[in-house]
Amino acid sequence: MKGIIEPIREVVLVGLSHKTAPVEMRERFALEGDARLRFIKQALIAGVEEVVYVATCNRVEAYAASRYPERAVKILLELFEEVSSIPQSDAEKFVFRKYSKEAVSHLFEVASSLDSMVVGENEILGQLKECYSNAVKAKTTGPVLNKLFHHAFRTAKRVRSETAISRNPLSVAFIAVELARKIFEDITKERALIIGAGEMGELILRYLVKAGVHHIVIANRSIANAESLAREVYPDARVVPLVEAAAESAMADILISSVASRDFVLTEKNVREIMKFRKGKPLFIIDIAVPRTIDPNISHIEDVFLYDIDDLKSISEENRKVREREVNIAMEIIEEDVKEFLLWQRGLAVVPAINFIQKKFEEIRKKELARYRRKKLKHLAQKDFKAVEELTLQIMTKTLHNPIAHLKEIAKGMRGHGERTIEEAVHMIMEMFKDEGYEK
Amino acid sequence: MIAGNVMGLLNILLFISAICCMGIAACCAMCALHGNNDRFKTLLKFFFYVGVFFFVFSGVVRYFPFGLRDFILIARTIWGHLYLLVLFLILLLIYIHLSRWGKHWIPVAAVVLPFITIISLLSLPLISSNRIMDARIANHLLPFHVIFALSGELFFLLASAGSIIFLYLNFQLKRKISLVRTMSLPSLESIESFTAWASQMAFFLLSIGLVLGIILVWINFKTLFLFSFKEIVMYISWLCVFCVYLLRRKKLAGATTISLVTIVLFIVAGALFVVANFFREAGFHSFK
Repeated sequence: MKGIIEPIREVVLVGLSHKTAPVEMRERFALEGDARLRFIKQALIAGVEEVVYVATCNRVEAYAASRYPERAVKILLELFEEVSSIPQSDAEKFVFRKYSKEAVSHLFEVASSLDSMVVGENEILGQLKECYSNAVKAKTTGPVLNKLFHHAFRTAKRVRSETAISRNPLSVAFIAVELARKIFEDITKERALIIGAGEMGELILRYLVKAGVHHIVIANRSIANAESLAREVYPDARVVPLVEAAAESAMADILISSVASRDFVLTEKNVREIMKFRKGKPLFIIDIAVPRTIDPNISHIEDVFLYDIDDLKSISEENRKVREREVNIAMEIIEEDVKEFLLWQRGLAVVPAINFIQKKFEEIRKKELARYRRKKLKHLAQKDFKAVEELTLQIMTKTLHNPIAHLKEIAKGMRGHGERTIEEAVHMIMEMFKDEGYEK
Repeated sequence: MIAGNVMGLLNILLFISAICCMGIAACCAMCALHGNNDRFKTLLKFFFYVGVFFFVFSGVVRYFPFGLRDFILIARTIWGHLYLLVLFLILLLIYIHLSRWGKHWIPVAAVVLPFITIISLLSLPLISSNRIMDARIANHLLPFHVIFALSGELFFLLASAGSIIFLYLNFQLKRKISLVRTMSLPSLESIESFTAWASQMAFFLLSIGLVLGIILVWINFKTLFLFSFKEIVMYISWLCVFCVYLLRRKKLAGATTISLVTIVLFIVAGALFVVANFFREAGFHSFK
């Protein structure tokens, strides 16, 4: 009976993240390109059955599946020691190890961006998929890690669609573009005027270009700087001197000011004049300059939407709070999915037993059929004998259906059997089918 | 007789259940819009469709005994008239939910569902009323006059619903707070385009209804104007819609002002319409 009840491959995790280690420590453990491949291959050679190496700017983690979890962790720690050149005793306080449920739950949290520095960020899932795909290409994954990662991707998708965790942007530049989208029907048709070539203005400009805005004018004191910005971000942008900014603003739908100036570039009077000609078309203004360069009183004008840097930051802060509130709902989804994965994993314990039973019955069937074919059924035509063969196969399949289904349910703990009784139950069924005398 | 009483009681029970469901769905729609909460969205869908089931079933129970031949009776009774009005709004909501406009369903539901609830509540005391539309003038143009005028009023209702959503989004954007509450809303300009289209439709349909009404009066009374209350109401309603249409067409004011004017004028026209058609019993094609 040896080999029928095999221990299942437990999921283990060794790693360090922004929560446990500073960036100087994380970069020592981070590997690039071929080094990652070597790491997972070495782990496999050393005896870990399945392994995936995950590295992002916030974490370095190695997920493994092994029947001998402690040994797998030891191997991974030794490999990390080798790549980082930091003795295990020194790295101890930065490195975490997680086993089974904890490790599974951790991966689901990482994939759902709950463990990220910015909760709800979208990049992590892509990075995780890339790391997993590298491991698949290197053939270092197996049934457990394949299932685990696919399950993690599915959970992440659920968290994104069933909670508002990543719906509200946190980046000030992205918020500005989202606001523009809330105001205008088709942002790509709108005209944008960027006053000043400051860092934040450049960032918003990049997002606007990404969103498809293509009527762009850059007004700056230094034409050379404005031209350099245009070359870098959007070569088709028109560059004008700062003195023309007021005239250009009459044509703009989106106005971003980041210029340093003691006086207002745009006053209430200017905007009231502009709005007369816009015939109800909204005007969206972002003033990210400090001190402010757009008269704050213009926010009272009808159809004018003025946001300064503090407004954008407070929206970002509010969105961050919303994301944090959504974490609890996301955790419920993760808990549900972790349970589902663990049930599947427990079901693996009986796979060898099921294979054994099916094989044993098939052997008996074939042996008996051959015996009858030689003696009592030798008069049958080939076609009739085939029917007998099919009949015996049907009987065998139907006879085995219930015990196998029962076995699977026991493994999943659905019938109230505790973990300790699985082995006993499987042995009991094995004893049922065991027949020492048959071979004779 | 007993069967008739049972059907009548069932009709009332089903209609009250429909109103309750629509009322809850309206609250859920507003909460879903305000908090962008998925649970409210699920509850909204549940109560709306359960409400639709009760609503349709209540109509079937009420009019089934008459058979298809007397189906026209639905439009002639005062309750049936309001029933069809609500049915139109419900079908419109279902269409928006299932069509490519589906992503804007919640804000539309948040405005239209309260209207559905209010109209249904107003019609509840009239459920057993025997008042039937008395045409007084027999002319094939009359149904067209009623249909065009009613459709015009309904499009005016949509324009005012759009204006409410516009003002809500405008208010949130001016407050400079999180985008969470406006997540499921379309852009300001999209709402404005929809409202402009609905106002235009209202103007054209009501104008056709008005012209048909004048023709009817001319055919039957050889005059263009009878100075009846109903005619005055019709002209005031048309004037309200015309003002809104003109304001939008000529861009005579800012979008926020126009939205406010639309809502105020709709309240005036809507109230006059309800009084003239459902509470007053005088005048041709009134419920007597």
